[in-house]
Amino acid sequence: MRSARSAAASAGSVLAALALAPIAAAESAGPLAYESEVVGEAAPRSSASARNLSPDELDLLPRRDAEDLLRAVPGLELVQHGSEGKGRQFLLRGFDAGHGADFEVTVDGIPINEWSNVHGQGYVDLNFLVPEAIRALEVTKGPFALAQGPFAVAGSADFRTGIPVDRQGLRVDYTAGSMGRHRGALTWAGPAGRFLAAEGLLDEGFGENRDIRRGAILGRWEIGDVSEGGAVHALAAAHVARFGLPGALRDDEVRAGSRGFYDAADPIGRGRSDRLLGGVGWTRRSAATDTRALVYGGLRSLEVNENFTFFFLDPVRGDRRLQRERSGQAGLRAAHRIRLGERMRLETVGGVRVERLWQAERKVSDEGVELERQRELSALQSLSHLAAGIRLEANRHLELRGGARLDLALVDAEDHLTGERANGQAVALSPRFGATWRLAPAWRLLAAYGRGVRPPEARAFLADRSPPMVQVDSAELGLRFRPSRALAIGAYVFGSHVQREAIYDHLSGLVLELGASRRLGGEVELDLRPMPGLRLLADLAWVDARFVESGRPVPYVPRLGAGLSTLARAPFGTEAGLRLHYLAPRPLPHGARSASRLDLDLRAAHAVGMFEIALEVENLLGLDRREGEYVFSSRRDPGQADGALPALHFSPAPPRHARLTISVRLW
Amino acid sequence: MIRSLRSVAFVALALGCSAAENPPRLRVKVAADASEIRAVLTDLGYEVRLTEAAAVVADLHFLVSETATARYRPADWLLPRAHAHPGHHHGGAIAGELAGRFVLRWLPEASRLGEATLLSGRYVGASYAFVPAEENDGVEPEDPLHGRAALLGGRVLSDERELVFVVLFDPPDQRMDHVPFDAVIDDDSAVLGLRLKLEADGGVSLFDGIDFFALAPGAGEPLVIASDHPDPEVRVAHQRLRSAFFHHRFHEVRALRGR
Repeated sequence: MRSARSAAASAGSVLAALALAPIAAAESAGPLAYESEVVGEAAPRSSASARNLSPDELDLLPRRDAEDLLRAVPGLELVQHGSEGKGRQFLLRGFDAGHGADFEVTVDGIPINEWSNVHGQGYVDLNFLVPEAIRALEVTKGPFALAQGPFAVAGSADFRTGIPVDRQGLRVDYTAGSMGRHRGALTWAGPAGRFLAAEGLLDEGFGENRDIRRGAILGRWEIGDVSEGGAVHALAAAHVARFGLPGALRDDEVRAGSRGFYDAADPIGRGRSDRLLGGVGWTRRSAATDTRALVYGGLRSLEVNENFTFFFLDPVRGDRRLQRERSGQAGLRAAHRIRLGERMRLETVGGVRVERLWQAERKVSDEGVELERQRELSALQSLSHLAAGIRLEANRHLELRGGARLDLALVDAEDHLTGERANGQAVALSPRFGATWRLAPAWRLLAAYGRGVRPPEARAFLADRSPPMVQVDSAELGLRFRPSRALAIGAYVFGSHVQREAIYDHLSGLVLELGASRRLGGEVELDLRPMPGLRLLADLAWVDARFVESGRPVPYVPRLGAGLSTLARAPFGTEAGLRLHYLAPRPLPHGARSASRLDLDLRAAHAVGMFEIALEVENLLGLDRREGEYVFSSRRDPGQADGALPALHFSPAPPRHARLTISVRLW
Repeated sequence: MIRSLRSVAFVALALGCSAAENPPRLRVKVAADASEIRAVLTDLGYEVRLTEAAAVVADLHFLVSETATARYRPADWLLPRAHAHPGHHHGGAIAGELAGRFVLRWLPEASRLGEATLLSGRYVGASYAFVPAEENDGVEPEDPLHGRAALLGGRVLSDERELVFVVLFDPPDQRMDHVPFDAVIDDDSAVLGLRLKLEADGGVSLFDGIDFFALAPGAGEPLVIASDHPDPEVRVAHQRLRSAFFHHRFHEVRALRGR
């Protein structure tokens, strides 16, 4: 007991010391020169929980890539079951959003979810985003904003490109990591939001077959004035990435000591991901109107060679599969807001996205010899949307929002293995409503209702000419208290109901309609700025996700997560961020349960003149953590008779490691 | 410093961190269930009474609904679902198994096969293979079951006539899938009974269409129905019976309470 008390006292001391250190530093340094940009309250909220992550939240916490920035979103859990080059799995508000099936991601408004990707519906790959070139991240949990499109079932995120104010000019970064990471980055930021960012990455990874090699370039050019004839911007991006795919380790093998915690279950799995992306946008604003248009297009290639189940499906030749996807897309989006009188604004949104894709899945040997063609499909698919809504200031205290969105999917798909060809359509109408009640100067009560949709993938149209769009109804009620710039508190309750879950089962060739499920949850967020340059963020998210009929919990989704972050900037060029994150055990199929997870990450940087040195440490506690945990069947050995039962597998989170970055501002 | 940080971890662990837990594995006994083997009347008016019924089965799988779990299983991005997916097209996803070979004897006395390992869940089906009996299975060479996958023996009654018969089944080409098994298994108190039914739903008898007395070899001699019988009519009857016997509608897995 004494040791526990002692440990608790020590822990308290450490946390207090970590939290108070920046305050002490700031007090000793006198007035602070830095005031972080507050963008969180700038945009009108579609729901209480919607928020823009500010630059200090994005900059001051450790990150390996742009997707890591999403870890700052309360309640959003990311799982990497490959290595850094592979898209992550998203878990939000009781949804296992897979690689993006239920989580919409856009970059400067350009949709990134790959609708019918061979590896996973809605696949999100952000390898092309250079993290230094992200100036803001707007996140909406739930489908409440009119502009949220397909896949925004659990929520959506829009990455805003740009170089933060403190990185203007020409800057070169070099990072060395304790586990064989070498990264070079170059950013140039000019006037009017123009920038160019490039990175080259070589990382051996924290374990066997977890390496990544990546090169990416991202640039944006703007001309004109939004209020005089409009401003035009162009965005261009490209990346190449090659990475290892280590599979998922069997828990029983690791417990028995036959495999190490950071070993690869699949020592030869590989992935490659390439992309070209471009867009040209036009924005014009006046006192009464706000008009935006965006034309975009890109080319995409993904190849994934994995074996998660070893010899389960094929006891002799093994279960290795090679998935390939090639696609080209082009699209147009436009939005127009106009003020109708003093109190009302009308918003109209429309767009179309056309994609030509080819995809294949092959069963291959470990040597790469093709054994069987399991899928070969080409498709021409389009997603169109039209939405209209009004925002009405009913009185000084009450704002009402209402509208509807129509999404139409058209698909012409051809199965090259069977010769079958089919075309069809799916359509969904999604109402979106909201209200903001200003209870008092510091208090806001926000209510929102919306329907999110996920279009069926191209293969589903071969089975059913009119497969249904998955539709999820969600509601949120939230209270925000912001008495001053120094304190903001938000508390939200939310619920979602999935009446009909539909998936395409490619074996039976049927679109399966599954049972209803529902989610109920709540979140609390605290944003405290006790003094200039210091910020404390705390959050707690809880959700109960269950199947309606059986009452059983929806497996894989988190029930409880909590975060605590300290962000500090001192005037003498020192800045630091510390993040503590806890994820409670998650229910898994067949009564299994995941491990809990505790993360403690640190970033500290100091700038002197043209130089800056930054140290990032992830997993400061040095715990063996599990990032992804799954229950499925696998057989390690060829010809193995038993082992058909589903068993626990996991992907480890990185062990404690450090990265040191030296930056030079050239001008 | 590291020691202090470990103290933080210790406190956090004490507050609710926990290790992963594998799916609980239930050990459930599996036995032959002869409760549905009773005198049956065929469509040709024969009454069939079995006195002997046995088979050799291997690698039993017990399946939960794949439809119910499809969305929430690790999706396509994690797991391939090849055409040879064990369990798939067998009526579900495997959540229980009894690996190995077993003599499944219903009559004259029901046998016990062993203990299967099941995960908790709602089961919808079972699947197992029928294999030729070997000495290693405890079937001696002089046993008529030896080399065969199943055996049914008994008497056929019609009016005043009586015929002793035995059917020796060659193994089927494929596993028997879609065996009905409707039960929620959430503890290990159940005994799984592998039931043979001589009459399927709808009143169809396993012996329908077999004109036993037309195949009878002679007065007083038993009728042996086997694939290697010299009489082609008997071989046709064997094929018909084999198709019926290895069809899942004459089999069922029941969760019997009590041990």
